[in-house]
Amino acid sequence: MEDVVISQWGLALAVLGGAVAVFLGGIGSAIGVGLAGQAGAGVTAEKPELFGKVLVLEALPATQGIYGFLVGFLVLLNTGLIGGDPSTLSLSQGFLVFFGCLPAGISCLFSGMHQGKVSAAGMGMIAKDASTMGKAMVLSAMVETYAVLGFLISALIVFSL
Amino acid sequence: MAIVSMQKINLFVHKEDKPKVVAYLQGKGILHVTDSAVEQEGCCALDMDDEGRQLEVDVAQLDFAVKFLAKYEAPKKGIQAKIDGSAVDTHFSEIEEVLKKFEFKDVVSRCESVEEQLVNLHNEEKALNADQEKLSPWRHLQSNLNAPRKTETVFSTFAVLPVKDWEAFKTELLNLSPLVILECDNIYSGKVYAHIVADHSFASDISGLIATHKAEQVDLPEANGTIHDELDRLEKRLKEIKDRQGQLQEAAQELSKDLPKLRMIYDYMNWKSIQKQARKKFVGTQSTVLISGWMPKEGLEKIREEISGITKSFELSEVEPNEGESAPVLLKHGRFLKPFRAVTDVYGLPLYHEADPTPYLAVFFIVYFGMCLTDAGYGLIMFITTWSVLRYLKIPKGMENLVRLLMYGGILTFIMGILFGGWFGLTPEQAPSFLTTVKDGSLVFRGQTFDALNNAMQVLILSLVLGLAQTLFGVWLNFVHNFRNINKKDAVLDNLPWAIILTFISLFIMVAAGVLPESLKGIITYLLYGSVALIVLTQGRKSKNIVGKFFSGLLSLYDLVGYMSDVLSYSRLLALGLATAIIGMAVNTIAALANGIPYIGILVAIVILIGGHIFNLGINALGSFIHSGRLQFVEFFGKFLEGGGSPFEPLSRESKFVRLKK
Repeated sequence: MEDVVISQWGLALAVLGGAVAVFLGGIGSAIGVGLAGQAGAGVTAEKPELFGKVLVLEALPATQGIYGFLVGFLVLLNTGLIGGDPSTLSLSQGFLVFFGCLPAGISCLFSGMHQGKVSAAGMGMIAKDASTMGKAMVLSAMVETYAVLGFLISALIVFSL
Repeated sequence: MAIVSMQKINLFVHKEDKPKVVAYLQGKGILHVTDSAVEQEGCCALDMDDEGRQLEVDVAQLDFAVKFLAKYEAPKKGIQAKIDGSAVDTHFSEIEEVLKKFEFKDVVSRCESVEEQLVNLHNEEKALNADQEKLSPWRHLQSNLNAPRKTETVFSTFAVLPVKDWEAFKTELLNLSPLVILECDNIYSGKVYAHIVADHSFASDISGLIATHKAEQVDLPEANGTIHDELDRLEKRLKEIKDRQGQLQEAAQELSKDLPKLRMIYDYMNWKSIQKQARKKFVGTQSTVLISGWMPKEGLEKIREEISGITKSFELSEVEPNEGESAPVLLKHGRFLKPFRAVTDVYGLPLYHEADPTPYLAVFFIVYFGMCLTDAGYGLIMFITTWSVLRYLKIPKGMENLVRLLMYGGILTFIMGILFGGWFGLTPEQAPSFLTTVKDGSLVFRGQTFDALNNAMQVLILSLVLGLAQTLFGVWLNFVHNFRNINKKDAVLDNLPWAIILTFISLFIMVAAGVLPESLKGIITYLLYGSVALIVLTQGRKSKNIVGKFFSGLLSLYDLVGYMSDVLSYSRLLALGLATAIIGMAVNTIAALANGIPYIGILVAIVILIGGHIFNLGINALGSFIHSGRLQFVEFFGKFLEGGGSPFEPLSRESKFVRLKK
């Protein structure tokens, strides 16, 4: 009886991990895209022809949400929750997955917020001179590095399940 | 195929020949004019003349006309026409022809008149609409608007207040005296519009009531007839305005047929204005003018010959640049490398004496791009799309490099996709059988050598090896370039030790990983110690005393951490590749779930598949481009490039619309 309880807790912890990765990444991106979008709306109001560029710059902090989502998806896939045949996880396996999800979740949360700020500042750059678009994108992508690294570690841990 | 060698020149011409020579130079687009503002006796900088000012006025007027008429231009049909937009393909001679026959000033003044009328009508319309809004709630007022508002004994006033306050207001008002009368009370969208007539003695009482009930006192315009008549009059005038606006718009549409001609003349006048602007940088005496600037070394003689065909009285001399003056940078590449300019341009130009990074980053960039996407299906789609765009459409010059680069990217993504077994995020079990084969007892894709999903370590190591290779390449490149072109001693003492130590570290890693035979371990270890000593000995050489030299040499070993973090940064190649694969997988899984919906499931699944994969391709192609580029700019360029060169901007026919045919 106790074993059954423990095995269910393992799966539950794994799912909690996946959920944390998804919502932290989602919060980070939502804040980031929100910040960039506000600045972008200002630029678009003055120069509607820049809308395409504004949209790309706004979309850059959106990747953190995707990384979080991917970690969540991997958890569901590797625990068999998608496909309708959930595997039993021990409590320690559950913790492993839960901790494994944290790098992606937390790094995506902060990197999404701050990438949004850099993107918003980049809007000012392209408003002044549209040819600086590439530079604005690279500046913004610098912040994304840490979300990429967090995602990498989380993905490797979840894969190891 | 690199940075073009520049020569600074001084060109003296006779004042009379100046316009011809400047026009010739502009047509060629080979002279980057510099400010020759040397104020010497008898010389003075040339200033804008009347003709130049007139040109600026013409350009401004044409700019207005073109912008104004563009709003009325018939919409373009077809993809090609949309891409071309306002571009005009023409010959130079054709523009001169148009200029002779076509009275552009006439068209401009007609545009001005049409625009002025439209603006006036628009303002009048706005004023009328405001009046209409103000008057229409009073529609039921019977009395004439020209009836006096004040007589010897009575006065009349108009007030507006919310319906909920009305009853209280009305009771209090009528209780004042029988000498207060409500002429009209009309309810309109939640408010009561009241006309009050009363004896003068109640004026202050009524004002007080109006104030306490937060009502609003209104002044109605004085006009002949009732409100009703006035509203009719407004209606009629508005209709007249509408008609007139229609006529004017038709006139503008008619005028907009001349837009191509106007655009040509706009650019032509702008070219002339640019010539005049350049004057500010020339210096002149009474009869000669000095033009100085930079020209590509190659072809200088040809220019000299061609100028001598225009005038005999000129002197073209090669001169040394001023102290601290650096030549402008122009990059020149062959057909294959040109698209990679799209990457270099994002970073900016190298300094004149530095190496052109474009040829060195090309292979790395495109391989990394492929690794970040690693999906053969996506690669194929990218290649086909970009190839068709280049084949069937004529796209603007600025876009061509990027599209061609994406085409290369498509090819590499296809190759990487095969190596990594990526096909639209499918697993080998889901894929059609002609794509898969059995290897070591398990089903894999044909040609698959890596498996990022099940053996991520392998791919991580591959990413880091690529990173180390590019770092080594950058360090050696720096040494070789500095040794050849700048300072041999500095290059050997400052740059070579790093190239050596990083090479030995790489060799050491190769031994440890078993790529090189174990027997080499001893010798490589000693070489490594030797190179560490070399670093300590050389890197502190700029310190003043021997202790300082030793410690700053020792401290410089810390830079190795920088190289290590650069290499680790390449782990993003694995992460981005994984992201593409997993999103693709997620899309397929969700589509499979949707397929379970009865009846419409298959449709939903198809929509999810198409939309999902396009989204994945789009967002990850963008990510691949930026991150692959970043690896060049931050990790690679840092090894050998400072950057920040000023671009070669020759006096040329800069066009907004015209695309000159040769």
